[in-house]
Amino acid sequence: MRLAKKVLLIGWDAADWKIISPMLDAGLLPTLNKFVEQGVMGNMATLDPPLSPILWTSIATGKTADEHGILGFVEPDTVNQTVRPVSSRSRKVKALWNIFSQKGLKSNVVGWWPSNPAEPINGAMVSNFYQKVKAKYGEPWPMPDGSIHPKELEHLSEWRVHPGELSLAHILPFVPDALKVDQEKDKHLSSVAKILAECSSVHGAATWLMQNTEWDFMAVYYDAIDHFCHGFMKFHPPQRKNIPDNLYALYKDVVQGAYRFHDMMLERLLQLAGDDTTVMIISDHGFHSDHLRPNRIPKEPAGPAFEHAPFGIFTMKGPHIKKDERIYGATLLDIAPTVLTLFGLPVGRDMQGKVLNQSFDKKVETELIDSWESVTEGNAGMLPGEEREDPWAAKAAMDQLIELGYVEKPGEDKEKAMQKITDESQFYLSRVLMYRKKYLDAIIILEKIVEENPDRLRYGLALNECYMAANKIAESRLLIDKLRSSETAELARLDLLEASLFIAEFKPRKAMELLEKAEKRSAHLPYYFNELGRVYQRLGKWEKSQATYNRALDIDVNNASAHLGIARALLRTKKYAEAAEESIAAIGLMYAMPQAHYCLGEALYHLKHYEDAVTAFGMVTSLAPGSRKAHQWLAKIYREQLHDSEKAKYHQQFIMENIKGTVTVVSGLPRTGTSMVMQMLQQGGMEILTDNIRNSDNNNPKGYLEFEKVKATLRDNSWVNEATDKAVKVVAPLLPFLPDNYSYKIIFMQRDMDEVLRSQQVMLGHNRSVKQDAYPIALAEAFTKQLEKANAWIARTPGAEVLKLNYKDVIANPLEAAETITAFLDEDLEIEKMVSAVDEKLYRNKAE
Amino acid sequence: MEEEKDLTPQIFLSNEKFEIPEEGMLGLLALGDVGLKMWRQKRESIKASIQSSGNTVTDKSVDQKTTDTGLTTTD
Repeated sequence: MRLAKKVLLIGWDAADWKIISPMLDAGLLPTLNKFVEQGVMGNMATLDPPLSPILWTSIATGKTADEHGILGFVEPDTVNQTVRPVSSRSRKVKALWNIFSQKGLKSNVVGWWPSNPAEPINGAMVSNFYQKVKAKYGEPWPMPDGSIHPKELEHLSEWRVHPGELSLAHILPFVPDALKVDQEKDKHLSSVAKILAECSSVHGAATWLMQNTEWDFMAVYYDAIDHFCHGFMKFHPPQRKNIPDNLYALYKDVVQGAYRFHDMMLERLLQLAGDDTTVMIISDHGFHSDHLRPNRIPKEPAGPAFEHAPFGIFTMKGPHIKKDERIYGATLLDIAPTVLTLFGLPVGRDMQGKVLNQSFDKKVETELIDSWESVTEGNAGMLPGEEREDPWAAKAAMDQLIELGYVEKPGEDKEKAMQKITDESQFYLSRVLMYRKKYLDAIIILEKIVEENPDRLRYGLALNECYMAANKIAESRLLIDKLRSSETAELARLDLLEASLFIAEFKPRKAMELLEKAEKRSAHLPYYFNELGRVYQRLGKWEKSQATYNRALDIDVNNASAHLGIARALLRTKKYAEAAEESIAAIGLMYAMPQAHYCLGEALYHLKHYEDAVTAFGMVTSLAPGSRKAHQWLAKIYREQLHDSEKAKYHQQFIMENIKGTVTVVSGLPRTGTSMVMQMLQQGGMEILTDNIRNSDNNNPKGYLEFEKVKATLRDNSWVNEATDKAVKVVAPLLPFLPDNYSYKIIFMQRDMDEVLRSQQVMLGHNRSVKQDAYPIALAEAFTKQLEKANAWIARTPGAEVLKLNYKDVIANPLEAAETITAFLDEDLEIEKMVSAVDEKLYRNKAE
Repeated sequence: MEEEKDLTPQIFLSNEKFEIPEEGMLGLLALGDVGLKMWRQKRESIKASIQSSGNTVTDKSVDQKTTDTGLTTTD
């Protein structure tokens, strides 16, 4: 079903509702105000890294950069051994206009980044080099090669505006006191004129094409808001401490002026498009305009991207689009599937976003095909093979990037510069992989560039994030210690990372100590409070955690993780209605957050909104298909509340067939305190898998808590299905014989080998010290080998997580041990009762 | 292209005659190609009338001594 006759996609780079909303209220953007009232609007989540060429290509293709191939502002030019601006040749997959060409639809594309050389599509393309100004005003100003497709439209060059053509009348709306500026010393007016001229050039070409060509799809990209913001956001009200009064007075209106100019241009675009055209206005990311503006821009490639905010804008109006409604959870990846659906075309399964169905006034079934890449029928109008880049055009664009601060000035040594840029693009690729949660792939890239560039802290920080996400805690510890010794170390960031590491090492108290120490350095960062909130939750301090997450929201109300943290705290304190509200707030900001949908589902269940709870848990299973708990909830609600036995059975069956459970395993060598930990778990309220066949004795007066079938694991490990969601004791040598298709949380007990051997001898009735006899070297070696094998199995088993505890430490500090275990298991256990299970008197065979 | 649509910019639909200023205006840039065309035509016509009256043309764009902005400095 085709919903749209024509689609106009307008890109406003860096547009942000935080600036727009008050301007709408003040009546400063009348066209946009009317637009929003006639259609839907919402936040649009950006991707990582938030760099425009990467993001606009994701918008046009529906794919992330690891798939589409655009990896930053520049790319190495291997022919010329230099660096060149990223070109359309680097894009590996079809954009919307290629798909439309194949289907016989006509597209006009203007200024899209990156689109030079222009592709031979069915329609017209004006590349992002078209408007670039290189020549002085009055001198010949040829268009770079590849600026226009088809050639017969090269007369579009006449709609280019040179900054020199502009007059004071154009500048005054941005800088009312422009005449007071001493342009010999202050170059800001040049910058305004340049941005305005380039923007007007794009607009000139777009408006001409709209009037003089037939088109089904039109995409116009304006970079002016982004450029005005990078140049002038520092002067935007409220005045910042480091901004002199005279500069503030001169330039405080520039950013608002930029938006007002776009509103004026929008009026013309809408007039030309007509009411029967579906129009979408989007931005790739937002721009910090308040107290979140960074105090300084890091001196690194793409450093200005630190000014970007995580949410851009999305608004759409037209036939079959709802009116005056808000939509939630849009991401950049949703644009391509949504536009295809508007035209009644199928969405590729290899596209990573979703159709924004909530925008339509009728139910629309999404048609799917495997991939548009394999569709060969029809000419896609893509570029033929490899062509040589026009060095003049490339240089002009590069100069602009350097001027904007996106790219470092290349050094004298070309090879070095090229290597630098290659490493940087690999870094961006790793961040894309991290965004896609492909941490192991990202680690391979990052380990290489970290080794080659040990001084670039940001590479190390990214690598550490991957280690943490991939549960490579030992690697993370080594890296953090190495980064700590680096001279360039940024202490605030490292403190936060190490706190996360302590949490991962199940040392919440140490994490808290570090965070408390780091407060001075980091208390301006929402991330700081999120980490602290997480620590409080690990310690079961729900109210403190809620207050802490609220402090993160005081800094940034759009922090989805903080809303989620609060929702969790409210759930645990049984404030279900508020928990639901906070979950919805988190989802509204970041739709693809299964944990938030899960919290919402749980809150709705307790509020007895069973149908809605089913929807929420259903979303969890769609976003995270492996979520056993969500399926369990669905089975329970269908069975007990909705009395739909078929659906309950389906989810139960799904759990049985697809997802094996999680088993808590207490392991180690015999006599390392495994029974003690089992007792702690039992006292704490955890269900234990035991048949009580082995009774307590003098060696273990509180009981062994064993399960006989475990002893036969070598020949039959089918007992594991009885251990799901329970704790069971398994001696270390048997660990490698557990089935791989379960998740294991292993509490691995360690103890001094002398003590282990002595305790075992005592247990066997040999009441002699190990030291009194010849040391049983062979036995010690055999045990060591068994431990090595067990550890190797844990390391290679994807579903195995391990917490290593030392027997002596548990005896010495049972409270910390209980907290650590609780944090590791992520269970609500009764810590005081766990502590009571530890009896120091039973620590009898101490090493000498 | 749809012939039946009137694509005249709103600003020119008013009953009052709209005089395009020689120095241009932001609103004309916002109109895109049409606005640019009108502004440039206006400049050309002024230039032509000055030439026909025998005076020297002082097109600010070629006369100015300062920056690429097209603005003269305050000195």
